[in-house]
Amino acid sequence: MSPATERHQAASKTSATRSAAARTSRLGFDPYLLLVVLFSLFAIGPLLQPGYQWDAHDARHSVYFLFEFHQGIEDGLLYPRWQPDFAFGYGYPFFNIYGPLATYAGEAFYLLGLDYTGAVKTVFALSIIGSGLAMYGFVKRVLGRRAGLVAAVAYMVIPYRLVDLYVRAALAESVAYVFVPLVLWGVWATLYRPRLVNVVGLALAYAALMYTSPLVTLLLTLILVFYIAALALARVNDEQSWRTLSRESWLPLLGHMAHVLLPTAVGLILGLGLSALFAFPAMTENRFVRVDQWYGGRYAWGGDFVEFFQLFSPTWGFGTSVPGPNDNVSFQLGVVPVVLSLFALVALVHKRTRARFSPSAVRLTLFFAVLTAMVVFLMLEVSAPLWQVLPLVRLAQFPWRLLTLTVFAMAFLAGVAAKSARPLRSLVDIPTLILVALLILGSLPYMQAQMSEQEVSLAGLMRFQQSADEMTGSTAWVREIPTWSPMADYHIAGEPLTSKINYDALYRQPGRAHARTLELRVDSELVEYSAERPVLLTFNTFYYPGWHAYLLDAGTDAVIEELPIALYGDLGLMTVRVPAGVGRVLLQFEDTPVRKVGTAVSAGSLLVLFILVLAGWLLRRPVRRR
Amino acid sequence: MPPSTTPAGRARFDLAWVLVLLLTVFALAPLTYPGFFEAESGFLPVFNVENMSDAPHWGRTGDSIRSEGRLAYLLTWPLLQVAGSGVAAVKMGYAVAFLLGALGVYLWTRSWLGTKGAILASVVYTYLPWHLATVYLRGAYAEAWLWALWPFALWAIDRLSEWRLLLAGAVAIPVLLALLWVQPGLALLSLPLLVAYGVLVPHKHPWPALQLIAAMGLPALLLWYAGRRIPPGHLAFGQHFLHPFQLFSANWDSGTPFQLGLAALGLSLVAVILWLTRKGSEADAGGDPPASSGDNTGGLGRALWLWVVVLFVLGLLSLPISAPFWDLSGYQAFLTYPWQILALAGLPLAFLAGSTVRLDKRLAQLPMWAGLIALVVLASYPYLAPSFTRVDPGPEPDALFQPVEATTPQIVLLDHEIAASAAISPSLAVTLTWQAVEPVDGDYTVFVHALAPDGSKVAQRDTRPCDGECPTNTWQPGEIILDRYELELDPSVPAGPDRLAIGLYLLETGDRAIVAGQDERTVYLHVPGN
Repeated sequence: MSPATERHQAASKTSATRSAAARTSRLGFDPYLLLVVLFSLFAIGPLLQPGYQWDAHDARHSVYFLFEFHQGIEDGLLYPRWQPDFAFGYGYPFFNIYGPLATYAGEAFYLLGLDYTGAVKTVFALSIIGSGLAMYGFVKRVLGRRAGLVAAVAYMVIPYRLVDLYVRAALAESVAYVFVPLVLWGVWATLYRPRLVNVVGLALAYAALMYTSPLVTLLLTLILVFYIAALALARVNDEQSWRTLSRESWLPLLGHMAHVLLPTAVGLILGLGLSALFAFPAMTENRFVRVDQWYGGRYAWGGDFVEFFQLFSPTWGFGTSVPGPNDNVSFQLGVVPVVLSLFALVALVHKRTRARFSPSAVRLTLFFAVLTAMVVFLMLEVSAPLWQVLPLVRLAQFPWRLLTLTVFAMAFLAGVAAKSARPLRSLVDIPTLILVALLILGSLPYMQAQMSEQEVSLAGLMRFQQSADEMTGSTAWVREIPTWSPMADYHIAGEPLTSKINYDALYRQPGRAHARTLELRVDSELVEYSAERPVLLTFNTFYYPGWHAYLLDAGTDAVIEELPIALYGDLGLMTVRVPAGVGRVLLQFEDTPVRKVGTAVSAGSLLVLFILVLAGWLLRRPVRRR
Repeated sequence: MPPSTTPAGRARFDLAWVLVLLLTVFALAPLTYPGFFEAESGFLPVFNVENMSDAPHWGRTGDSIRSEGRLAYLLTWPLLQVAGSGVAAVKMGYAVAFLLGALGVYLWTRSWLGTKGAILASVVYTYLPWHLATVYLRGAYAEAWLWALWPFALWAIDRLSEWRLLLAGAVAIPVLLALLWVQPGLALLSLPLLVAYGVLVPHKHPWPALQLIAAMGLPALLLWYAGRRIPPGHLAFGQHFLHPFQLFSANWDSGTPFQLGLAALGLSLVAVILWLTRKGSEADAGGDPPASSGDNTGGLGRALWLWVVVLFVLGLLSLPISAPFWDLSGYQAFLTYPWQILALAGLPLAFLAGSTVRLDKRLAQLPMWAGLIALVVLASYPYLAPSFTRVDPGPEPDALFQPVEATTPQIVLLDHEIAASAAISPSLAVTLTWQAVEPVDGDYTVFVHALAPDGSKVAQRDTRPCDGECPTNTWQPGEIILDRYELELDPSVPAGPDRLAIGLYLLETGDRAIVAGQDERTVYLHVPGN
């Protein structure tokens, strides 16, 4: 259907609908937004308890990610890529390869006065509310407000969302749910309503998703290929039916297709450009960290498929996924969302109800129905051969992580089922409320968190890393992943760590070497030394691209020369050879060329975006005056 | 008279059939677990399927009226050939029964309630707690097939009332015979209900009570006559009446649940209220009307009243207040427990609940209709997590034990595992996998004796199961008990044990439990490697 036709349909609302719309305008805002926020309270209710879900899978990770991130911010770094206390103090470039947006959000709340756990809980809560609002916005555009409300509630309370929230405590993934509907909305809008605001919105949403979770971005991008193709082909067909095509019309058709796709492509490319600051290094420098502990052992892709019954089982648990059918964690799709998804298809099959849907709504419904079926198929063992030929998807580690994709698709389908025959006579109708109540009721038993209290400190971080040693991050030059460190001893003892010089290595050398740290920061260490002969100065810090060592003039701190960095021992600790005498050495973490290019691309994209917005605003001003 | 089901000139495939099948997915899903579930009947249905010549009484004392008939197992035989294992075949059998039941109710009620009402009725029937308990808690294999067959009998009766005698006969006669062959007692007791439905519902009678008595008199008398000649069961029928609260209790995990189902009962109540408060003509009724061109308002009304009365009577018959009736009629000869009669409540509940959509057009609109169906599934969703087990005892267990005072085997030794210990001193690690299929009467001690080739005892262990932690009289029917023993062997004895002798005895009296099918009261297990 052409945009003109959709606008025509939109214009032909019933009088009842118009009265409801008028009521909205009298209120000055869409009251459904308030309803979405109110209904989100059920999902975020457990977070309002004192304490924190420390025993959830990644709960400690999220808090200590923020803890370390804050050290960087406190040191004046706007984007702290290196976290000095990870890996028992040997340091790790965590946020160089891990999406930082959720942690930025947590940092904002920490700076506003919340404690670490409070800040993380707030981000979790806002991820639920934000995702509901985003879903509402999209579905409202396509299907109307009631469908939007039902889809939004479904999106907030589908059991796997609650698994992510209270069992896995997957902060990045939870925040990513906010941007998934925005990206899909942006693509839909740029294809069917190609306006500047939609292009800008798509760019921002896609960039935000990338900054939040590259994995979800990757999975979504794979789907976007089909999503864009389906919607674009359908739109071109609406404007020029395939049946009328001749051999001569192929070239114009391709031009037409390019014209249709251009706004979407611009939006996505701009989004990628905006995220280059993070995405370029993350994509190219992740090979410099060891990932065998993430993708090996029990995390290796080994066909730990979901059993069919698990998709429909009410069983809940706070344990982990284990090989075989007896997982201690739920992989259910959700009873009410499944039933409503089935009825979304019924609505399309039924001639009378189908008439209520615009062609683009029908296409989206079919797309998400097929997507749900495909994702369910991919989670089952029967799809094992397909996984062999889809290596990218294996990054998901476990097939059940694809449940993320069903959440959005099934929430949309639930919204479709809510689209009823009758025009809206009141602000909210009973059937809509009943569906909302059922969705909440269906997930109510799972809205529970296991809260406890723990101190957040460097000592806590060391203990946490020790208890999760298999996941200790290390760089590619580390041959033996550490299980403890001298720095950890300091932290456990509650002593401040003032130096990362490896004195054992220093004092073993002849030359009466002495060294002391003048300044220890997140991304640098300034050392003063004296030695009767050249010695090796080793730092208890892993090597990673971006680290540089400089010999400074002891009096002026001017750089005399850059010292080549060598690696020491199985830990791959950075070592520099310093000349005899008294001098200073500065070890500093800097941007690599890739990071610089990424930063430049992001800045350029931001500039383009700004120019586009400014141009759009300037172009619209005369129209307003008229 | 119910309307005809197929309007002339329409041969289009009805997608509602597909929806009915898809909506059973939650009920079927537990059957796809790669193992079995710990139902009260344990693996007995599996052993019956695997040993068809002994079905349906494998391992049990035959009771041709009150217990299962053979047909359910015969129907499963092809599935066994396909699946290759008894566990898989039984699970497939349950799945087929679920699907047939859902399709049958849709087929039966479609002409009464329209497509939407029939789909709702079908979902109510499938997810009725009692239905789910029949499969996942009680493991009553034959009864699951009764649930599959009953709707077809009612459909055939409807066709009979339309004088489509050939079609009705072609379905009704095989279905009735199948019912009787699947579970005779319960099937016989359902006959008066089927007759009442056939006589009262399709036609308006001036004296319905008289008609009812006249119509039901013959089957009632026949049952009374037959009941007098059937020997009584081994359990005290009168001790198993329900307390009224049990019909409404949400209890599921402790003991057999007897609830009628919140959603089904609630919707039935709504249907009654809608019918009573209904004003105006049939035009007020909602949903898609049934395919009839004629007025079936009266028929629907009679059907609603009949099912309300039936539901009420069935509830009463499960309560102690009905004890005199059971005594006088002799109908207790057909059942082991009075609450078994509740199996028949699925039909009225499905019909009444489904009729809500027919009686109020607002409920037939898509969001509400979808909501009602979601509500029904949601209400039973917590009951779809049976206790699973990966134990697969194969075609036969190691042994069945019948306690001294019991009339039927109660304990099954499903499997065993014997492993030589890796410790320095030689020993045998024995794991016995027990399962009770009835509440166990006594507190038994297990003896495990290691026997040398010459028959001499080289080691022994006598203790209550799980080192006394799980006495036999606490075993719940269906529960799998893993019972481990460590037998210390004398290193100076050259010949190791080649057999284990295992049995159960009462410590107070020394009486041993009988091993079904054997003269000896001991089971001998071969020790691997010797």
